[in-house]
Amino acid sequence: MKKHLVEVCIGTSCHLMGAQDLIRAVQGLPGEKLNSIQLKTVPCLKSCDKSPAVRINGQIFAPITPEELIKKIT
Amino acid sequence: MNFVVEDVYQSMSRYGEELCGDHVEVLKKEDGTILVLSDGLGSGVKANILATLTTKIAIGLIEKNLPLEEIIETIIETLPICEVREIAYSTLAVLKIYNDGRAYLIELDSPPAFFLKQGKVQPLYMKERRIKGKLIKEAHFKLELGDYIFLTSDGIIHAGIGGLMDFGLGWDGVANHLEELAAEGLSLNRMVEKMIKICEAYYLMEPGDDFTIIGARLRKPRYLTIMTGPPINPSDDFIMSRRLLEARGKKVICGGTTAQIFARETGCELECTFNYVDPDVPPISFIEGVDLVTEGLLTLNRTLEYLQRPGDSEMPLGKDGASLLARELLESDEIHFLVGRAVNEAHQNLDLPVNLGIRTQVIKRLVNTLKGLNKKVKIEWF
Ligand code: FES
Repeated sequence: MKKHLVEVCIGTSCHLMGAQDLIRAVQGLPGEKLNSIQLKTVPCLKSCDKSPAVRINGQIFAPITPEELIKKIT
Repeated sequence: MNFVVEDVYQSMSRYGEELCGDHVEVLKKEDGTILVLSDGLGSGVKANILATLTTKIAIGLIEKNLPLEEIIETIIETLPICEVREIAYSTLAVLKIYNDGRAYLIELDSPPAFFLKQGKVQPLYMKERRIKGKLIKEAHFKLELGDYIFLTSDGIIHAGIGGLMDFGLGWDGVANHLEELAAEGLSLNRMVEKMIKICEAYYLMEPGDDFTIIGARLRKPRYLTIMTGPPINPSDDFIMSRRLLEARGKKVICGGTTAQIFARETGCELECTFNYVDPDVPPISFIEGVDLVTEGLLTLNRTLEYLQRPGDSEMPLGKDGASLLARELLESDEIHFLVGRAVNEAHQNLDLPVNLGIRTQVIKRLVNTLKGLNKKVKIEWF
């Protein structure tokens, strides 16, 4: 199975808007789900005005909530 | 070549006393460092006041560049003499070390200083003269890289009286210990700390007197260059990155976008982490060849907070980006800021108090704070 590449922005805006919650949400997934995900952090995705921002398999989603993120990758 | 004078001191109060009867003042000047030590007669509050007064007066007069005679005369005339014992106030030792290593020492009733060259205590040739009836000893000498000089109060020399020894450790005993510590290749900090512990042990942990030791030596200056903020003019991206790449000493980048610019312009890889050591400080990143890569605004503000913590320049010990940055700054002597002034539009929308949100303001406050900590700071705007 191809892994989802999830890149969470940890730039200043996204940090303030809850990047940590996004990371935690992904890290909190059960083992087999987590295995299908490659989680990374990246600097500013140039979507600060809509932060927090995430890039999933190359496509940017902003703003996004932890719930929305989990839905998209599971 | 010019060096930096590194100085460390530590005191211990007499057992049962809260206040220390020794006092130290340090004055950092453009051309060097002045260290003043005074030991007030007796112990407790009175001794503390006497010693503090003596050092404060001395440092005040030295700052005004008054000649030595006048300084000593003023001190002799200003300070009271003990009515009971008819002996004077407090001792005084003043040591000025210039950045090129020239040194000048004056001693007034204080124990002879310890000068270590190649790990061995060497005699200092003291000239004697009398001012207002007081015997003043002075020496001009040269400190080289690897030499140490220590000033002590007599509580160090007498360590052990009432404890392990009848007559105390003595000057030679202290000299031996210092030679041993120097042979261990310890940092100056550790040497001073250990000497204090040794004396405390001789007193069987109940010192019969206040004691203080000041250590100083020369070292090569430590340089740090910080790149932060994207330049207004994108054609400066390359220049700014090159400037950091070629800087001597340590290299730091503050800001995700800045890190991206540097990585792009130099072809280095930027690696981000998600290790939140402190929930308020975004995680650090890595770029090969750069000593520290942090987020920008929030980290800088937090670093400033650490450096402005009342009372001291104590090292923050955390592993978050701001603590790491504060440590790098505190350990450096000359700091060069490369600051890009492009406004990050996104930050304007953030709900930050105005003065936290503007990079140039944070940098300016950081620079002022660092100058207050005797750092040499240069800013280059882009
Ligand atoms: S900080 Fe996340 S998009 Fe800019």
